[in-house]
Amino acid sequence: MEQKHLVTVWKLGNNINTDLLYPSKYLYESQEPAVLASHVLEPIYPDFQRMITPGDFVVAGENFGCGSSREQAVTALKYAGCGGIIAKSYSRIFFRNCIAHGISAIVCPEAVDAVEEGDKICVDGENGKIYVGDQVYTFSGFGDYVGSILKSGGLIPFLHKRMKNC
Amino acid sequence: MGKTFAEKILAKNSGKPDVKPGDFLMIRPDVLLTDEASARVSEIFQEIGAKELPCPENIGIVLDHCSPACSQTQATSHDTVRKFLHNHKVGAFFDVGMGISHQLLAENGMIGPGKIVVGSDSHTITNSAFGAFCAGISRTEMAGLYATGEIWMMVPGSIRINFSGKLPDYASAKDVALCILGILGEAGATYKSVEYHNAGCFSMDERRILCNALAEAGAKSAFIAPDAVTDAWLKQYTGKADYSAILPDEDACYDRVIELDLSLVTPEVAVPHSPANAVPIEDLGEKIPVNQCFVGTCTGGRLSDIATAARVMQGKHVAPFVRMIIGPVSKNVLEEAMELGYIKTLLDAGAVLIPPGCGPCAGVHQGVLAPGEVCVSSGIRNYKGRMGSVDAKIYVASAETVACSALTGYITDPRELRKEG
Repeated sequence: MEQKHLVTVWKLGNNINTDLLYPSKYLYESQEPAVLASHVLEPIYPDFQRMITPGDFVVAGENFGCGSSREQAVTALKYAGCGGIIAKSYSRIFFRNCIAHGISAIVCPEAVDAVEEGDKICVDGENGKIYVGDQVYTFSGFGDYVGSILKSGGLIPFLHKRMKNC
Repeated sequence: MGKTFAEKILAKNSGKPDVKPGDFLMIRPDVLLTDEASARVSEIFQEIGAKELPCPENIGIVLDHCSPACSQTQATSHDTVRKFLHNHKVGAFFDVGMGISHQLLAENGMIGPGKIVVGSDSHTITNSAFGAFCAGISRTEMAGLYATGEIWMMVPGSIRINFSGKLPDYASAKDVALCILGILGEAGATYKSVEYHNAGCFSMDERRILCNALAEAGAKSAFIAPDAVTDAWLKQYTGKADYSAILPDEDACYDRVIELDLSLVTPEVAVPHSPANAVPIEDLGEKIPVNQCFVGTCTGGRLSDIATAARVMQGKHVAPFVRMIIGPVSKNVLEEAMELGYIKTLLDAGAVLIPPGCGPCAGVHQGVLAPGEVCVSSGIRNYKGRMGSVDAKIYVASAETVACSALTGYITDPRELRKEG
């Protein structure tokens, strides 16, 4: 079997709101990627940016990203090096922010239940598979239109291509 | 089989004869609502390569979260918005101090029954109270809308909440809303359109509390049928009540139906750190001292909330070492409250007036909390660290509960002060 690219899991619970992901007090201050990365998950994981290795995955329970619509909740994770997210379910605006920024917000409750913090997993986005030890879990795609946005790397490159083709 | 409000309004806009929950549609919203996010929206609009706004008259921009700016970064962001507006005319622009977006775009008539409204703010759902489909979206998506006028959307399933009975005079729409959040939980309405039925007893102020709070249960949008109460408000504030209402069919299919007897509602408080942690106030147990009381926000900063606070505090004074902050939801509401004497009453009672806007709700300014402090607010969000220190605590409650608490210095059941007369 070919070598799989393994990433570490950072496990969060249910109802992780966007004030925890990116506190209000920083929302209207510097938007530099390094600043956003430094404050991600600060109320519950003050050193998250230093702990995470680029490419690691955040794995969360139900209703991930609930509350305010701030897109910094997604971009701060991205700039901190988060390679992707697997959750049991998402709050809808957070999900939309993930797609808009080219992040596949994967839904796979079985994989979430199967992993513990620090576990190594492999995520095969192309084929919709998550490898946890010797178990394989599958997840659904995003549909044609949303899938195209993700394939383009997010809404900005997707629309930029459309504008050029007009 | 009949159709829900969401199915009907989205079908009509998309041009499809018939839709069902889960269907993927491209929608052209009637109103695009943005706040300070418009600074980044305008930059992305240019990054995409867009030059002209296809539907500028649909766009409303309000600077309300940092109002006025309290840092150079915020001021620069506002400057970006104003520079964009020098080159692009839009439907409405409200600069700092005018009020909160959801209030202003209803007062100016942009938002009304039968419209589809999207906003780069999670409380966009508030104006569903007018019988409009109102959904929060991402600010990058808002830039896409500025450039193209269209956005993808899935048709939501619907939840129906039927009201019956009469609300006791010591309870309020905010207590009803907290009760509903307690029933639904933080994800109980995720992706759903929530329809309130038999809501005719509520004023427009109250209907907006009921819809606003549903953001905290994950709802996509909400609905209250427009009626004579809606028409009277629209005529008073916008000069007219011309619209084509879209109404759900009586035999529409719902994912869940909730019956709520209003006569059983009592004062409620959502305890830290979730809006869905709603409990009857008598279940709080021990006395909870407060440091800051706040009547304001897009949830609870309307004329009726200020009127209630004034009634409670008339001739009395804020407790020692307690701040009572009043944040009117708009300049119109402030002016009406001044004419009716409420502001003088509250100032005489020791309250602090802040400019119309979001105020301290988002922990940016005008009442940030220190470690260990406790705030009781007529807003809706009480997440950990939301209003300042992660070691502060926020309770959300009705305007009456907040005002009573300001007088006593601890979270107080309105029935206690009503007994005293």
